[in-house]
Amino acid sequence: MAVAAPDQRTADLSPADRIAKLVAAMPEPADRVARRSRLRAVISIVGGMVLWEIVGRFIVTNPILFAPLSKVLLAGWALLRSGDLIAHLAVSGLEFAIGFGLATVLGVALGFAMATSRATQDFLDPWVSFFYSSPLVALIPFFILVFGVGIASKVAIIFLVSIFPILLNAFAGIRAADESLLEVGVAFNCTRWQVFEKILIPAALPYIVVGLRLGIGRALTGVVVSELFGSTAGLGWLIGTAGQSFDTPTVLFGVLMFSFFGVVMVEGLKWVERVVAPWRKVTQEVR
Amino acid sequence: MSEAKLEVTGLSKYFYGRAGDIRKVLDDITVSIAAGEFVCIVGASGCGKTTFIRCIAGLLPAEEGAVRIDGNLVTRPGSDRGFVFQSDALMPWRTVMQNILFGLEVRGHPLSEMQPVGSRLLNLVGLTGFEDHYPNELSGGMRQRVNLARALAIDPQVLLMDEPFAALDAQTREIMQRELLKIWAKERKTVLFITHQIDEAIYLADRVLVFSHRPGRIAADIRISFPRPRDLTLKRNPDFLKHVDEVWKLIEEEVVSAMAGEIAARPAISP
Repeated sequence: MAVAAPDQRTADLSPADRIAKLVAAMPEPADRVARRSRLRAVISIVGGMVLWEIVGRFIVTNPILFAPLSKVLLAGWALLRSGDLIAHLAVSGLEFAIGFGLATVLGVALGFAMATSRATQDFLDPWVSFFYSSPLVALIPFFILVFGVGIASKVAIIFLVSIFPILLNAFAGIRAADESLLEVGVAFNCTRWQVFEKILIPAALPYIVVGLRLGIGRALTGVVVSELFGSTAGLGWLIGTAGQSFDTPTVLFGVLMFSFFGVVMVEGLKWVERVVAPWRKVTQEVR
Repeated sequence: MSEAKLEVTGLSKYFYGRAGDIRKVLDDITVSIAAGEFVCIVGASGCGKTTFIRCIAGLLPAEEGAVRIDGNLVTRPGSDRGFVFQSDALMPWRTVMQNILFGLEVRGHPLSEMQPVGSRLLNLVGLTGFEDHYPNELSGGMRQRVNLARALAIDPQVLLMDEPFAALDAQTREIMQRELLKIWAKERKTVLFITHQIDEAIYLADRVLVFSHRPGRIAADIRISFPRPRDLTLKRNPDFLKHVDEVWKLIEEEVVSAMAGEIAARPAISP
């Protein structure tokens, strides 16, 4: 395999061309790359919306099978004006807040307990493995029998599907704490609580954020599926009843709302991470 | 001889293998270090020098023998000793200033009292202006400066340094050696410095302890009497090179005999 020497490759170029070649080889400034990334994202989203509209209007004309974006948004507008949207959102939001909130608090606490106490880990590990790998949504009929069709059965299922990724990531975060940093704690005579507070928790924080991000996705699935199964209100219920009455635009609008809130929460989490863990932002920006 | 600041008597240390085997890592080490003395320990890797300094720091228990500082028996880490870690072991979530003040913070000193101390140390290690930077924004040499400042912040009597410049490139290491001597001249701590680099040990130390290979034993105790302040050009001085040669011969024998022992102990493997 012959490799041409650099001078041979550029020997037949004029000085201006050589400079142009050098300039082309230079890395682009980061802000320009970022701006172009954003522009591409906007083009992609707008393009997708236009495509949706075209497909719904001209290609799939059966109103049960699909609906153009404009009709979906109009259905949403009607729900907003009637006040139904806010009412359903409030129910789903409350279920999510309680279930996911409990999962966060208990998941982090149990994850920490398992990571710091061998006995706790030994006792809890089989149950965590069992529940984490089983399809917990299968418990929905059971929870509805026990807790009724109201909010409690939904909270239970949301809690249960979202606690395990949070717990396991909190556990992994503590376990992944740098051995040499723990030694710094020992060398500086930290109390056990100080080691926990000043070394283990900050070290685990990025892992906890990952756990919460996974938990959000599972919790949203928990909201929809549990409301579809048996409920009297909520965004999932709205989707279910709209589907039964062949109201495709409302179904799609409900799905859109779930996606929207999922994205908002994940982005919110990123923001929280930047505030509580500024050193991580620095890593991303410097490199 | 002036009164001993750090006194080690009959220190032995064993490691217990998983298979129930017991290995002697340190063998009956007795040494006395005077206040304000700069002592370097050199030895081949695996000779137990890191184990030794950890015993003195109180990070490992001494099984036989005793470590005393000002006559007080060492059983656990204490504010009389500052430890400079080999990997800088800075907390990535703390700024330079917060890392430096870590030891004072865990002792419950109020923040207002700590700021002047922090500023003085930043200045001492040449990092003024970097107080709000995070470790991942610093070079390896700068991180070791923070590591050193953190150990000095608790105002220890004895500074224990475990190969702090081992991970630095050759040029940065030389600069850091010079800087360390400047800082030491101001602070006048008793220093115990571990290294595997012979020229580093001789350049820095008043005394060089050469460790034998497994189990660690003090094979030689060499006084280095070059006048201070020392310049890096000292490293090209013929007397300096004579010392390097002397230490290298001591270590070479140890390394070669240890390697021969290992090879003999291992079953022959055909390629």
